[in-house]
Amino acid sequence: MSDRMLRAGCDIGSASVKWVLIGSEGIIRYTVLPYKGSPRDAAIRACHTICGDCGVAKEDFAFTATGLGKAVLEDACGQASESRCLWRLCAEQMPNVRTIIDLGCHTSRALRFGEAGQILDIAESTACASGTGLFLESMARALELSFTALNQQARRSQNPSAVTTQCAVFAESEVISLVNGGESVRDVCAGIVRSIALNALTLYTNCQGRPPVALCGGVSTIEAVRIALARELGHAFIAPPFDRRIAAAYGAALLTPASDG
Amino acid sequence: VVLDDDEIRASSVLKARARVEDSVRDITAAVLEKGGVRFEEVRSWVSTGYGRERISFACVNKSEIACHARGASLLSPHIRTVVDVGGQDCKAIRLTPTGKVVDFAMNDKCAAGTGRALEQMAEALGYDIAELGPISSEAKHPVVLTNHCSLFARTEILRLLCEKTKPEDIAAGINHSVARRIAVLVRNVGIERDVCMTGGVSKNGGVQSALAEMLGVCFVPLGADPQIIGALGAAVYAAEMGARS
Repeated sequence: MSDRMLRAGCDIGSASVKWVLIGSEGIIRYTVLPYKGSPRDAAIRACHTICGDCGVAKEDFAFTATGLGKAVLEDACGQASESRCLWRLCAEQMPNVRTIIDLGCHTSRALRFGEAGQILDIAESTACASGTGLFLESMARALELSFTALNQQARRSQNPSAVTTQCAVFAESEVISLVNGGESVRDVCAGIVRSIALNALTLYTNCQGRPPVALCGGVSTIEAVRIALARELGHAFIAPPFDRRIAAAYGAALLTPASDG
Repeated sequence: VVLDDDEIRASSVLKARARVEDSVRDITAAVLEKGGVRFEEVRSWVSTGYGRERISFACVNKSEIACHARGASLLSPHIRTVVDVGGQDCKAIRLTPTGKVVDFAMNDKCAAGTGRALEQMAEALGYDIAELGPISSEAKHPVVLTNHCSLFARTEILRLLCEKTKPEDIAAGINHSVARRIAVLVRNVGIERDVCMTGGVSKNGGVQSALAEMLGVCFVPLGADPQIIGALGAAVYAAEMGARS
């Protein structure tokens, strides 16, 4: 492959590593690798996969690293914050979007853009698992459900339970008590999803968000979350023209300068 | 706790079951058997804790704050600050020289700085919560855990294990991180000596010594199981009621 515009972005999150390889025609290939343990090993492994799939060598392209583990790859040509990646991504791929909400495993954030695409405000939640993918994961574990099953259950509910505990550790006991107390699993699932949506709404409000809104990050792949949040916001989302999980990695790839090869 | 005048006749600790009523039935039977007392012989019952309103036979219920203060004062009359760290919450209580509560701070919204946080992190490390104290004493290079949230800290611990960090160094880091959260709360109410620590977390020597160092105090030993101090305080209230009637 001899695309002169070949470049990549790598988003090293707390639960998965995302690589996006782009060329002059846009995305060539991407991969999402969930991992436990060493983020560096996972990032290298995922890079091998993508290189093998596309028949390129790692030396053929430069990449920008982002995410919590952005410092672990020493051969990155640069590092960027997730916010900067999302800004670049929106500027190039969804210029009409005024607010992007990113719901990750470890961090959730909302960014508001101005008319010219500049970042006007950022609201982030980084210290607490409330409203994150990790919150959802511990709730799903407590109920012994997969994300798919949780999504299906939540979508069938007409009457979400009140899941009011913010702390993910304590909320685990709360949802078990709710189920033991006779609430249906689908209502409890909907309550969990609603709690995620309300946290996202707080971020949206804190950055003084405006429509049109786009939603990205692993948690946003769950349809029930999108529906609940759209209901809270009072309007629908712009569907991004890419996998929601790779937004930051895609933005990082776009931030990487094209080699003059 | 069953109190006979000022003496502890029997005490019992049970891991809470899903239903409060089940826990209450079992623990009551256990403590009566231990003390060799029949239910009818107990003059009055006072309840405390999260499920205190669900004990049907208790004549009154008292807050944990009040009970920890009473229990600690009974065992050591010069106590002015009680640091109570249980599974669900963390409290700092300041007392007057006569044992009255003047101020308190409590965290029950976030698991950081509670027994649940210790449990979460111990599990990630692959140890039982009771082992954290003992193994942390062998630490040579304690790590600093940077995450506030114990769920995030779990991810951090798994990463450290992958990097071949020694479990004892991580255990010391866990104890330190919990102690740091408690210290913030204690400083909020202010510290006056004597200071004691109650609740299940105080059984972890690592947390206790880290916290003592951070606060610049020595904890006064109470000479009783630190997990029963709240129940002991409730028993003191019950004894007063019994005496009055």
